[in-house]
Amino acid sequence: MKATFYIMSLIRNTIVTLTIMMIFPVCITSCIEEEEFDNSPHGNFDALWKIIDEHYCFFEYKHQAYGLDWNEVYNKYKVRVSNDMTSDQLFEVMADMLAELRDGHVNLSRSADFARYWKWHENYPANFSDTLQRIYLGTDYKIAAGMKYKILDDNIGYIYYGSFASGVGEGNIDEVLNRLMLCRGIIIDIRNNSGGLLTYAERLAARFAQESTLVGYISHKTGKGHDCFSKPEEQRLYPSSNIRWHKNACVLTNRHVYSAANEFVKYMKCFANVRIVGDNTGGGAGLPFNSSLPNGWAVRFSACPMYDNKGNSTEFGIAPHHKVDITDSDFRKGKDTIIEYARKLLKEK
Amino acid sequence: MTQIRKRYVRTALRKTATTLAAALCTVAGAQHCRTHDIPELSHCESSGKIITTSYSIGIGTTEILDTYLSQEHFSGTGITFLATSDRIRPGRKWSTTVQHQANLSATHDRADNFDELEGSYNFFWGRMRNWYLCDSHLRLQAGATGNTGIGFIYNISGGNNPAQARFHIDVRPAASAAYRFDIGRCRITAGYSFDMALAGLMFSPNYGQSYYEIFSRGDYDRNIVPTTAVSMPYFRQQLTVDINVGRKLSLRAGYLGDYQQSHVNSLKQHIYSHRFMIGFIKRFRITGYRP
Repeated sequence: MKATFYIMSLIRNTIVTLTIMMIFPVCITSCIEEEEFDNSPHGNFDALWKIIDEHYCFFEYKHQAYGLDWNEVYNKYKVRVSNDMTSDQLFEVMADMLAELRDGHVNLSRSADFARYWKWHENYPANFSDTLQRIYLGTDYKIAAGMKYKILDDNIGYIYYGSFASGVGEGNIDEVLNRLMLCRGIIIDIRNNSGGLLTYAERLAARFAQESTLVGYISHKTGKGHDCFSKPEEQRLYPSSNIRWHKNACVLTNRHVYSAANEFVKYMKCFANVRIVGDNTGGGAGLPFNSSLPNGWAVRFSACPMYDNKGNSTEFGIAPHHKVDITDSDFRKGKDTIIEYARKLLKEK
Repeated sequence: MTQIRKRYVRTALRKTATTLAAALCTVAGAQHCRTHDIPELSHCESSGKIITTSYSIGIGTTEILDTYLSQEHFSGTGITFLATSDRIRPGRKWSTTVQHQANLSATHDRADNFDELEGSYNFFWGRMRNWYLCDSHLRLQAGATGNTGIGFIYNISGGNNPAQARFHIDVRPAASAAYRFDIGRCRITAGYSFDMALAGLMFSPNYGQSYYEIFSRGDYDRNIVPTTAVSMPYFRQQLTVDINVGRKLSLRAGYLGDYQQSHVNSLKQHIYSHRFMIGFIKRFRITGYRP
């Protein structure tokens, strides 16, 4: 009986001691937490505004460009939010708020909708037509990963790369350039290419670099402040050790050229044997990041700004060497004015 | 003459000191053997090692916050594997501990729209001072542990920030207590241990820096950050109950709480894991062979 009492007492004391020992370190260890917003219209609105406020990278640039003031934007749209509004109404308010950033990389998505700002191409001529391209490519073109290519009648090589989301390997580029080796020049048509992976853009552009070439700068945010940025780091393209293109080339662009495709144009514009033909590119010079809201909606925003080799932002696009639009008369004749201009340019050189 | 006397006195003093020291050592050695009179460690031989190894697996909840990936908290379930090894030479006060801990968790946000996967491996190596009290029923340990950890958090919705790579090394004070008692014929050991990161180094992107910049372009910017107990308050604790089922085998059940936190480069991260652990402990002895 005495022994049982002793054991019970011992167990009790041990449990008390261990509990104190467990609680003590927890008390002296501080918790690292982040403010969590309510899953309500107000909470979701504030969460979205804060994510953009702390991570978006073009506030300073756009303040100078068109007077963007993110605090004013908050006041303007916050009054439209109420806790009894429907999710459709909340989505509309949030989409309108994000549109103030005028950035194609800024999106809000949910299962029923995708908020976007596409005025950078919607407000301009398309300058690209599937119908016309079919006339040039015909049906006997070749496909190497993400690239379609063909030798045109006047011995000009034509490559269409519609998306940098489609991968292309060094072997693919070797094969394509090898087959176009005897051409007088090549056309790289990236119209309607709205981006993808920078790696593919760099891989293709490196075939035109004959020496280490400064093509731009890249930076990133180092803190929550709108002006907290790292020192811009040089972006250099080094000559590929595979087949390189030494002859003349034209890159065809329109307003739908965006993001990684915009970067490709930025790279190619640095080479003396390359001419950019067509319309301004759409821009999109911020590497996009993703985040999410309390209600599960996904948000995307520009996080790392990129600049051209003179330190200028290409967020609102890059001007071509030769501004050319597809004319109605050429369209009716089944001719792509931009391709024809590039062919003429390559034959003249 | 004076010099001869001095030399004689010195020699006498030296001999006395040596004799006293030998006597003290003998008493201390005897006391040591007595105080180490835990059945598992009742070896007074100077050769050989006593190795206690345990293998546990646990399941429980995980909560993840990583502001590089999302401002949202993710919660879910995870599993942990923990292997520990404690080596001590009979009669010595210092032991060496080695631990391998692997975690894998699947979590989701509160709207259940996005998932995050977390995986990590941690290696611990420590030296612990041992005290035996209460007639060797209570064993206390205190010392320092070095930890190296690698891991990842993968957010399935991320574009250019889909994942967070994790790497850290740190030094942490550690302590443990184990109390042995009998209930009937059953021998039970209740133990508690904790360790807390004091200082170290960890990898982190610099706030909005992309992995494309770090790994594809090689643009480093404060990516290896010195840490302290304030900026990286990692804390781990374990509460265990071991029940002897054989002379050298015990079954273990317990709780493992691993609270990994950091606040560097203006990025906040925490991974709180709570696990119910079960496993077994095996003790064996390596005897030194002397031909």
